[in-house]
Amino acid sequence: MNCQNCQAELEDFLYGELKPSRASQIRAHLMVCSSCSAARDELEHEHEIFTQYYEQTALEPAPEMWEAIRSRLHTEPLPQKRINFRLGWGKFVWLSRPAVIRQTAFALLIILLTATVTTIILRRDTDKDRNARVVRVEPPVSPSPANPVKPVDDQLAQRSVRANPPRVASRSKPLTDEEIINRQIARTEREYQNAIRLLDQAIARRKDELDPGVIKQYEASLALIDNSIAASRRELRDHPTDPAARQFLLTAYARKVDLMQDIAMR
Amino acid sequence: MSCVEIAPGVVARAKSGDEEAFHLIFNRYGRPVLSFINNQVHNRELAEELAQETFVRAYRNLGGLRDELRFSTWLFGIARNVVRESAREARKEKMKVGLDEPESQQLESIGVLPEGAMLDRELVEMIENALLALDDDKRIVFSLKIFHEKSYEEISAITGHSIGKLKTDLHRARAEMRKRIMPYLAAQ
Repeated sequence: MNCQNCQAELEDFLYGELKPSRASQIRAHLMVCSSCSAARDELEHEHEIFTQYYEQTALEPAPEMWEAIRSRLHTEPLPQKRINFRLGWGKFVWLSRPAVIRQTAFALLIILLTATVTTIILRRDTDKDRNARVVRVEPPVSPSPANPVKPVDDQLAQRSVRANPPRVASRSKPLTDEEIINRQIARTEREYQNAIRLLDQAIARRKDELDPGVIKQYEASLALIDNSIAASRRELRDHPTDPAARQFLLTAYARKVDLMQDIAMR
Repeated sequence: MSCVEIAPGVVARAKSGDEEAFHLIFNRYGRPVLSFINNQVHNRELAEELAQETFVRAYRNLGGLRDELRFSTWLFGIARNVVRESAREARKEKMKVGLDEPESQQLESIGVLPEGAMLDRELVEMIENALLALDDDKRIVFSLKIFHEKSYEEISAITGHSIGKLKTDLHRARAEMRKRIMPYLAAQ
C-alpha cells in the first residue's frame, strides 16, 4: 500500500465501503504514515462539520403531519390507475390525436429502419465469423473448478468496532476537549454503523435457517434498541455536551451490535 | 444522523394493514425523509407536502415491498420520485407562467439555531449555499451518503445510477463543498 492508493481510497474507507481485507491494509498504512493520517483527519473533520450541519438543520416533522397522512389514507380514493382501469377505453382517447398519430408513425419508421440496418450488419458479421472460424482454430478451454465464495466473516464487523479505537485527530489548530470528544463519538458511531451493516447482511442471509420464535424475539429487542438509539440521538441533539447522552447513545449501539452478533453466530 | 433500520417485523405488521406499525415507521423515518426532501427542494412548506405524499404512497404500495430489510432504501426511492415529479410539475408551471415572472420558490433562510448548536450561523449558511450550488445528481448522492449514511449499493437502488457514477459524483461534490467552505474554516 502506498500513499497514492491510500488517499485515493480514503473516502471509501471512511464510509465503510471497502472490503475488510482492503480496509485492514489502509488501517495499517494509516498507523505508519503521518501524511495519510493527516489527510484522513482532514476528511473526518470535514465529515464532522457536515454531520453537525445535518443535526442542526434537519427538520422535525410536526405532529400534524402524521394526522394529515392518516386522514389522507382514510379519505382519499385509491390511486388513479386502478379507477381508470374500470373506465374502459376512455383513457385511450388521447391516442387518436393527430399529433400522437404523427409521432407514432415517425417512431415506427425509425424502429423499422433501425431493425433493417441491424439485420444487415448482423448478417455481414455472421458471414465474417463463419469465414474466420474456417481459418482459425481456437485452443480448447479447460474447465477450472470454481473458487468457492467465502462467506463474509461475521466477526469482521466486531473486529472493525474493537480493533480501531477512536483516535484523536491532529490539525494545525489545536482541538478543544469538546471537539475531540465529538470527533471520537462520531468515529465510534460510524464504526458501529459499519458493523451493523455487515451484521445485517449476515443475518439476512441466515434468516431462513433461524427459528421463527428467535427471529420474533430478535425483532422485538431490535425495535426497543432502535427506539433507544433514536431517543439518545434526540437527547444528544438537544444537549450536545451532555456526557450522559453520549454514553447512552454508544451503549445503545453496543447493545445492538451484541444482539446482532448473537443472532448472526447462532 | 443516519437511518438506523427499523425492525423488519414492524414493516411486516404495517404491510398487513396495521396503522399503528406504520405510525412507528413514520416516527422513525419522518425526520430523515423530510430533511432529505428539504435538502432537494429547499422550501419547508413544499418539503412537508412532499414528505406527506411520500408516506401516503409508501403505505399504499407496501404490498409491493419485497425485502423488508431494505425498507428505508425503498422509502427514500419513493421520496426521490416524489421530488422529481414535483420538480417536473414546477418546470411545466414555470413555462406556463413565463420566464420573466419572479421565482415562485423562495429560498428559505435558516432560523435561529438551537441552543447548544456547534456550528455558527455563517458556516451553516455557507454549507447550505454550497449544497444549493451542487447539481441535482451530486446533491442527492451527497445528501444520501453524508447525511443519511447510505451505502453505494443503496444509493444506486434509490437513484438508478451506477456505482461508478455515484462515486465520481460524490467525490466531485465533496471537492466542490470543500472549495466553498475551506476558506471560512482556514480563517477561523
